[in-house]
Amino acid sequence: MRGIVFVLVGVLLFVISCASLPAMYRSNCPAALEIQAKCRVPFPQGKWQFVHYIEATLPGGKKGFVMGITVISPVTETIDCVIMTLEGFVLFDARYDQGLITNRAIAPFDRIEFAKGLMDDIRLIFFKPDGPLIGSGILEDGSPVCRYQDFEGKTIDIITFPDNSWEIRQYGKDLRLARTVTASYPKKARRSGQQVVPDRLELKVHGLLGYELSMNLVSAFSLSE
Amino acid sequence: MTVILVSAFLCIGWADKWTGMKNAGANIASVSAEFTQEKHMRILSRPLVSKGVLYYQSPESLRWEYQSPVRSILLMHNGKTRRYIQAQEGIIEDAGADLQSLQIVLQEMTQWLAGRFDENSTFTARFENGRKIVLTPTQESISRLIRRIELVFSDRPGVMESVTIYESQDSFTRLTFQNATVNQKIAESVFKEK
Repeated sequence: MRGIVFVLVGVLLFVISCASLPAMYRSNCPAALEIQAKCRVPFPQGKWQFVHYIEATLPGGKKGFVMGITVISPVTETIDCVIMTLEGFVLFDARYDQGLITNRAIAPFDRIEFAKGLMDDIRLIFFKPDGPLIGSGILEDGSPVCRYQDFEGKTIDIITFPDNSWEIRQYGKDLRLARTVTASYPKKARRSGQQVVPDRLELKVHGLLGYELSMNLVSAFSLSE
Repeated sequence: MTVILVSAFLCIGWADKWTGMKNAGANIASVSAEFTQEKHMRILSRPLVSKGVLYYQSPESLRWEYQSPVRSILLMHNGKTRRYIQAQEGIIEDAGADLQSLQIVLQEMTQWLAGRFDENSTFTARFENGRKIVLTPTQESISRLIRRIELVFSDRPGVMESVTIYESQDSFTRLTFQNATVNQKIAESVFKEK
């Protein structure tokens, strides 16, 4: 029995030690500049208000359905976020402006970890990574990628696809895939000014306590216009 | 939330007004109406608008259906409450919904529909400006969530014009009702099927 445990621990350590980022074949100028321009597409320019209908799949498979209102400003790095029922009852209302201010939080949305995690998710989805670009190039499947490393040591890959959809992959310090955001633009893709807003965003948080948010766009307004 | 009731309470005393409302409520067997819901909040540059329909059958059957922007249906019938909601795979029963809380809310609504405002221990009711009833929570645990509810009645007997639920100074939900019909037969299936 003890031998089996040792073997399992060994396999686990081996697997952990094998975690690595996907290979990226670096591009030189001007291809690199072209890729970096594509990598700006996911991130809204200026101040925006989004309303999403969110289907959340929680650990254990339990589902929840809420409306999410997000007002973001990449310039000021502020986030306003409201979660409410379809009937309009506000469950969570918070603002991030150099610090987190919770205006209202009703169980099960009343834990500080939830508020912090939510702001991290919103920042990952809507804001360009706050760390330096450490490279750009092509993944093995041929997709253009920009690779950033944030100040906490996490790696963020921004991958764009020929159909204009995109994916953000966040890797932890241990190089394991932690979060994935995918955006798709069905036929009903909405345009506001020069920007096309994805009709659907999917956030997947990997791991034992992972969850998924399927965010369907209800409305999007540029508040800078 | 709701529709319904009363007309002749405007010119009479407090006790008579409540009695008049109850009597009017007693004459309401069913109601159906369309509604528009506007959510107003400080952070919303424009209100969030939802539309739907409502059906009520005395004594306690209710269908509260949102048709846009997201379809969802609340059903209360024979003491059972269910919720259906739009998911990726279509309209599904929302097993994760807090049905106990929903049932309390829906029962509250059916009390209003029946004109029984002064029999409620959760809210105190008072008349204001003739056609308006203001409900104020009696418990602090509720007043932290809902500051007050304003019900405005139409000049048409038995029909409510709007309901406004104030959660805070700068956050409220307003429901306005249109095309209300009173005492028309409603099939039982409306309260049982999604």
